[in-house]
Amino acid sequence: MNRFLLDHAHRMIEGREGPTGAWPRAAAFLTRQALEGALDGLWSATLPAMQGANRSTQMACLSRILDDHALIADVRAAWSSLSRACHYHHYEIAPTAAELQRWIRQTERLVQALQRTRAP
Amino acid sequence: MLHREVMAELAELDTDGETMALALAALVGKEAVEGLLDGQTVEMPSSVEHDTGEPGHSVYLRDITVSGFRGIGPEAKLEIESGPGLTVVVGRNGSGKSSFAEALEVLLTGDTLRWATKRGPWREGWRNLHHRSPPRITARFQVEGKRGPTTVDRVWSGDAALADTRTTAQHHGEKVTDLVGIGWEQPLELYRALLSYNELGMIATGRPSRLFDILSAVLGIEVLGDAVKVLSAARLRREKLYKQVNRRRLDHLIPTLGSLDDERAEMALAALRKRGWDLDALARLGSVAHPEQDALRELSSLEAPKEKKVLRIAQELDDARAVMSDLAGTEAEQAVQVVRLLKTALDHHDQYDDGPCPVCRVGALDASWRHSAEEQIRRLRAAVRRYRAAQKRLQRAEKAVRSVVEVPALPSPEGVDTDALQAAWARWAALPDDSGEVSGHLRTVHEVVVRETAMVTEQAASLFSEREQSWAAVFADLMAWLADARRVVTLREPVRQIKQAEGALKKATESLRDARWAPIEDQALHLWGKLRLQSNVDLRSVALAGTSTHRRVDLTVDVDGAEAPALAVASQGEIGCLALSLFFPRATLSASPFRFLVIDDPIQAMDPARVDGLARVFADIAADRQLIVFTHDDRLPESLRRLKIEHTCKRVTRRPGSIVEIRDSLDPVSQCFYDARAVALDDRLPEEMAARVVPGFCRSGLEAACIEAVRRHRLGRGEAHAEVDQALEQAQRLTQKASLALFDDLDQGGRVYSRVRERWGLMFADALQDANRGTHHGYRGDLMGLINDCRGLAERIRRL
Repeated sequence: MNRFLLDHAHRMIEGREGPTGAWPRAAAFLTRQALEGALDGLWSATLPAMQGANRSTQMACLSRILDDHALIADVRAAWSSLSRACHYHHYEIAPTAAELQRWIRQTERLVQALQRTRAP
Repeated sequence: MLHREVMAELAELDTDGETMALALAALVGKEAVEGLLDGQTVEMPSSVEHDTGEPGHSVYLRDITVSGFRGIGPEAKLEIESGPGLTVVVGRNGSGKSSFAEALEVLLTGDTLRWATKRGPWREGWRNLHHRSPPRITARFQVEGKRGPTTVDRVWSGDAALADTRTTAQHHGEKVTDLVGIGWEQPLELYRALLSYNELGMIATGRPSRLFDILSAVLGIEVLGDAVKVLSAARLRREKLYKQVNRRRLDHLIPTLGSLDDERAEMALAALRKRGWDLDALARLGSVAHPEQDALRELSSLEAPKEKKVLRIAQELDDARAVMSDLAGTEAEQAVQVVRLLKTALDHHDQYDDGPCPVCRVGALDASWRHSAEEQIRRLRAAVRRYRAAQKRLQRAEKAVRSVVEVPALPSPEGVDTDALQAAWARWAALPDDSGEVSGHLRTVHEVVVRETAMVTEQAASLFSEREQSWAAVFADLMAWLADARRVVTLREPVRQIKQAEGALKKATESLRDARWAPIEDQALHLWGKLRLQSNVDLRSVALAGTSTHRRVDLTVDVDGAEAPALAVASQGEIGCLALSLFFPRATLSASPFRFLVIDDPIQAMDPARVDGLARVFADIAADRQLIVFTHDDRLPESLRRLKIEHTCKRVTRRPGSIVEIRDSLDPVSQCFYDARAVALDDRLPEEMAARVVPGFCRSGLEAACIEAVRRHRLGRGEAHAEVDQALEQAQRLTQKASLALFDDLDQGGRVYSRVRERWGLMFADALQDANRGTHHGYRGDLMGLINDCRGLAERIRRL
């Protein structure tokens, strides 16, 4: 499902689907959902109790189940940027294609890491 | 007009007629100045005017289409309502928004200096990498009085560099020409309808002279600067000629003459060194007497008596003496005595007649005595004659001796030692008392005299010719120089006149500049007054100061009552405002045909309060101008919406592959619901995706409504922009924003749902919850229903 969402986010950024102009925020919504879905999957496979915690707590606890520190840093940054992009803020305008593509890449890596974590 | 104003200014400066004529001739051009200086009558035109009077036909921008340039790949078109009004183009940095502004600038200003001086990456990196077809920029304008659009186009084929191609321009239905052909080039340079962020920063970082040039160009007095240049050129041409001649005087003639030991050189030096140069004295140099050189010439031609002559004189003396000594004691010697005695006695007899001889007292002097005495005289006559001849010969020989040894009058010019010769000759002239030794003396001392004479004449001759040669060389140079000098000294007076005219014209230019600058300065100060808002920096004066290489723009501000140079105390944002204050008066001069103004990112580093000021200034300008503002965030649109300033907002986004899209933008609340509906109704999008995306847009719409309400409410009760922004910055989530909107308190999130339900009903409370949850997990219900409910709630929140 998460890959599916990311795929659609990609398609929107590239203009292959979705209405003109709405794509930056729409892609941000999908990417965040994919990231959060991946996190949910991660916790259910490792520390099911964490599923009830808020996302900030989840971010803080990532290092307990993942040992790729670079990945953890990327995920935290992506999540915080996506959270911001998915709210409306005064003065701020929608993220750029480059930002969105970076977040999608980071989310994809998380999804892969999740699969490796589940594998054993 | 300008001509008359200059005359008035010159008269004000008490300029004399001659200087005024020259200054006015300079306005006509080089030929007039030269003609006047040549004494010709120069016709002064009644008016020399830079074309600032009548505004040209109004020009509005219709659209600009760009492909393959900077951030824009495939063709993208920005359309602007072609009439007065404000259009804001919003796009993130890198969205391609600035590429439109830059494209317009490249199109209209072509390869101006500004582009030429840009560094490598920009010169190289102007092509879009995602686009393979030739870069092209096309802008269409609506020109008053023209039926169709005026198209300005520029295309780069192959590997053409940015400056390699030409811009074409064409009025609808007319022939294709260029910017010069449609008469835009000069006004574009003068009024600068385009202002980029770089240019805004230039007032702080650019060369002072450049800002001066840009600002002063619109005053229409650069023609006076040109006139001053005409005068300087005329003066410099003359000064150059004069200097060349003077240089020859200083570097060649004076050192050369100084090295000569020649009285003519000294005279020439004196003439050359005289203040103003004594050219007449130089001219006389060829004809005046030069005693030293004359003396040398005389000395060099001195000759000692020839040996042959001396030997002959000596021989003759010896011969004459020998004859005399042969006669000594002979009858001949006695005969002279006897004849003298007899003649005396005969005289006696003539007088006293016969009588006794008074000598012997024995004989008698009588007739017979007389007869025999006369007989005896006759007999002795030959002997007497012989003796007398010998005597005369000796006398002649002695005279010849005296004559030959006589010391000649010897000149003694400096550089030749004649002492030895004088001494030798004096010795020769001192003849021995013993006349028998004279001829020997004559012969032996003669050799010394000859030797010494030869030495002196040789010395004199060589000195003479040496001086003559050096002099002849320098004299030729001197005469050639004299001819040139005669010409260039006549330039002194014109140079003086030109200098005066230059000075007068510069002063007149400054007063005219001040007079024409005053209204622009007033407007700049007025604009600053509107833009500064809470700034403690008060702009006092904007002055064009200095001349030539020291020209600059002096911005004086007043900080809490103390005067200071603006750039030293102003913040980045304030400098931006200063730049805008200077830009607008110039760009909106009624003489400019360009009714459009393009400003690229004017509000970087500008605080929100100033953005309001800027929005109001934009509103004023947009009343009769087509104002296009590119901006990288939502501050300006927010301010315009809140201040209810009429405007059009366009958003620019850029997809991968440099696909740039532009769409008209609504206010953020309407925009979010518009997008939500567009997503819900998009049949290309799987339903699952729409269900996941629509709630996010709904939540954003609600958040935007909350922000709008909070901002309006708080600013309305006098809170500072910064405080309001800070409060909103803390409200990250929807419930926090709603809490601020509903309770004016960030921390009442837990009461939001019940307050909405109480106030507007359960439907809206559920819509708020569904939007919030659906953003994370998607919404399973009726999307259009959610959109409508959220929209209804948003409108209610906005009206709070």
